[in-house]
Amino acid sequence: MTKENESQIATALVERIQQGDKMAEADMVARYQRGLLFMLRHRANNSELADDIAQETWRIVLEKVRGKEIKNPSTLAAFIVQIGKNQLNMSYRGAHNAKVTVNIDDVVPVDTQLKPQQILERNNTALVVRKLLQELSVPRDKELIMRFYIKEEDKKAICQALALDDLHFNRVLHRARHRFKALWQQYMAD
Amino acid sequence: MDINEHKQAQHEQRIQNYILNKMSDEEATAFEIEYLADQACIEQLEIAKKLYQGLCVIADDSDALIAKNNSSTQVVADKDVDKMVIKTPKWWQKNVPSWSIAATVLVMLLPFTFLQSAKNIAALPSAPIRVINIEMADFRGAKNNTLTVDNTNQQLILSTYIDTDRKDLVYPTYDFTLYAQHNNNAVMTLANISLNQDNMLYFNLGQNKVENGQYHYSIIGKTKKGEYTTLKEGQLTIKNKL
Repeated sequence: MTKENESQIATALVERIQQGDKMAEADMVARYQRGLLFMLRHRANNSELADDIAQETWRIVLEKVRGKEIKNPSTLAAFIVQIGKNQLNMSYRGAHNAKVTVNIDDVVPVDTQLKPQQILERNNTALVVRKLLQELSVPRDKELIMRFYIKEEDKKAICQALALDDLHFNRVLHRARHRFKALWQQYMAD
Repeated sequence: MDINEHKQAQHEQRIQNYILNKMSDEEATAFEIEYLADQACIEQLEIAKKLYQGLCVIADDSDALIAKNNSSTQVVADKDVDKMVIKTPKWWQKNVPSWSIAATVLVMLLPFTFLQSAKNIAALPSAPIRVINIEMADFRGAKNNTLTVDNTNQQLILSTYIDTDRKDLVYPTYDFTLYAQHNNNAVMTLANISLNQDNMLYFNLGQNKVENGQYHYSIIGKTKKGEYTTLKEGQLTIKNKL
């Protein structure tokens, strides 16, 4: 997806919506929904809250696009992201959270309201990851993953400690993610 | 490293930094705008996020286990990991035999010999949560099953599959109530539970929230008008870990 393509598609969508094309509204949501949900779930660390915020975001985006309030249609994605972030920040300011902070961006709220389904999904994910780790035949690869993801050590420090170069480091992570994806898809298909 | 490899490496780096919250807000926002409509990138992010979350769970549980037991742990055999992922039944699995329900016992570090049937779960020292399945398929006219659970420091979840082809089992919401056997007092009620997308109901009894003792439970279907129908009753025994 090039920036030019995205600009053109975004501009066309906005124009169609402003002409009253209801299909264009559905197309817009279909195009950006997955990305918006991922962004909100990542920032909020709370799936339920993220889903609510996403709905509210779409309500506002549609209202503003229909009302010709978007100044630069080619930057529709940026518009949606900003609305989503604003809605999330407003929900923190209004909600009864345990932590209250002035700078929202410094705090990663903990999802303390995990439902059983979410608990199971978390643990299933962990089992698949465990399978992945068991498959890694090179102990150094396992150590790299744990040091990077869990101990959050600096990439350079890990490379130095394990005598790896940058390229090798990236390849290990890329292979691990690729294999994890295959394992995950296999378990979900069963 | 050629240009493509370099670009790929940079892209990987951005994904890692984003997932691990190592970007400034400006950098994160710029990345979000880029990936908002990029399905391939979103898929990579979803995988990276899941991998990270899975590693965190493993790390948390390993720390908790080491702190609690302070002894060597047995790692489950490779082949057993495949059996332990909880699967929600598909349409061809509606009459689920009890031995397969046993596979819903979720463990992280568990000797194979500890695996037992879901109806009589022995001590599971390492499992962070325990999921016990209640069979609804034969509820009418059948003997009620007694579930026996060891009272350990684990989150207890009861699950049941609702066959949506059986209209007499399908309700907008469900309640689960646990009653003390000796005086019939309700000790816990979980209300307004809905089916998830896999037609499963989950009742989260929490961690150490139910004392040792004999209980009976009921699962009730509720209509929108507020009418109740008892769908399942059974016995639940919670006893001290041996």
